[in-house]
Amino acid sequence: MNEAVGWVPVALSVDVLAGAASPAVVDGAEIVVWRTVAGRVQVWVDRCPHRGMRFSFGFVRGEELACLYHGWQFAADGGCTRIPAHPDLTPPATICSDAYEAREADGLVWFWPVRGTSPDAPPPSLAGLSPVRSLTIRAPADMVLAALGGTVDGPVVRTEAGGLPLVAAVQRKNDCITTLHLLAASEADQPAVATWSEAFRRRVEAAASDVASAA
Amino acid sequence: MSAPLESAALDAWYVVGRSVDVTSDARSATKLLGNPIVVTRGPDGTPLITADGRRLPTVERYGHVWTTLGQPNKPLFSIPEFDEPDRRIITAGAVRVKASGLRLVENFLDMAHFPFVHTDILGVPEQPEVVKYDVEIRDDEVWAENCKFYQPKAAATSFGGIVTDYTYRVLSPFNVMLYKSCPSAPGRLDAICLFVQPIEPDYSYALPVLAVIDSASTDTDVIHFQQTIFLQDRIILENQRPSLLPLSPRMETPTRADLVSVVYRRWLKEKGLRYGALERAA
Repeated sequence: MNEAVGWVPVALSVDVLAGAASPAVVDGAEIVVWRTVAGRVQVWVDRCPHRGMRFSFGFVRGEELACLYHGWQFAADGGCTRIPAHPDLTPPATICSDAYEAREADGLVWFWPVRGTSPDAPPPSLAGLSPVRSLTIRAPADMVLAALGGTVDGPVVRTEAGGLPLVAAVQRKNDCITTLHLLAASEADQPAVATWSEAFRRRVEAAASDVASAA
Repeated sequence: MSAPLESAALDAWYVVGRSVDVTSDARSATKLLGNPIVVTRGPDGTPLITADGRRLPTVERYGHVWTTLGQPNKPLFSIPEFDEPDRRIITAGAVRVKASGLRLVENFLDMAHFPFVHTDILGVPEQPEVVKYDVEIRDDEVWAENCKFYQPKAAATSFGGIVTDYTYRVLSPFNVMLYKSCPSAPGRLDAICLFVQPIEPDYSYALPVLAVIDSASTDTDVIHFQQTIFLQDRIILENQRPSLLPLSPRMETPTRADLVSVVYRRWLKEKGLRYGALERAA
């Protein structure tokens, strides 16, 4: 199946705290998801251009992210603003992080996985839905999707969870691990969907390990 | 079966354990450059090291046992300080690191990370500047001299901050040491070495050893100090991407503070060293 490039969901908005940086993996590629103190969400390649240290170990300082290794600081557009070893140096404009276009909408954080190209449309609309949790499942995406059923529209699956409407935004971590960002129809449905999701994960992981041991 | 080893990696001496840990009643199965080896001590007391049944040459020096899988064209490097009678030789033992041994050496050479990785020990964020230092290659070793850095607590015995003078010396691709001003013996230099046993291209054993004048701290205090420092570095080393050391200048961005690492990488490239390195842009 040849998939066109599209928005990839990486987190619930509520899980990306202001002033925090966290690692994530999409199709085997390491990214850092962070939020400035003022609230702007950022998604970058998880690697500082200096000596390759992962940005996700760094510190958010106001509207900038500082790398843990040598304290190099980068602004939200990716440009390096400070190299502490050379306090009087204005960092050359060529020194920058690799930033993806990130978008926050309807309670999810998305990114466009190809740098240097513009997204052709905004992320799928999930208006009116109630984000529940992110669920990481040790099973390949095709097994997870088969178990979810419902209708698939790009990265979004609309199905049912024990009789309740369920929307799942799919993030492929790698060939063996899939993360679902789950949304319920309303806040009232959240607890039941959360409970359902734990049983769903157990079922799918058991099936995946059966397949793996049979192989 | 992996590609044959290049001469720059094969024909060199490597540390494979501390002398105190190599005894005649134990056979340690380990690896060197991806090759299984067995390390023990023979009945006559000399180290006995075999690879696939073949006896390997051995050397015992600087508190450690050394071997080679090839034919080095020169003897093990010389560090005369270890022979001084009032030196304490303190070996810390191996720490395992999921990183290329070349990344370990480069991290050892770096001062710019002191305020951020070893905060309030080897540096403070308020004094991050790395002033210009000099780098030279002498007798096929990389030397960085006139290095200076402000440190709040430069050694186990220090109270209060000083500007420490450092000299760095890369003895071979996987072996590095530094000399630093000694707080308790002005005019003399402490020596701290990091010997790396490359297990796989991206997996190493780090074996630190000190040859110091310090008479106040116990061995345990000194080892704990070094271990604290090293475990802070390990967080960095295991999270650098790529794991292998890029030798192509375009892949990573150095500044003037990184001069010794720039020279180190170029020196490795000129030697044709490939083990633990990444040659092309990924």
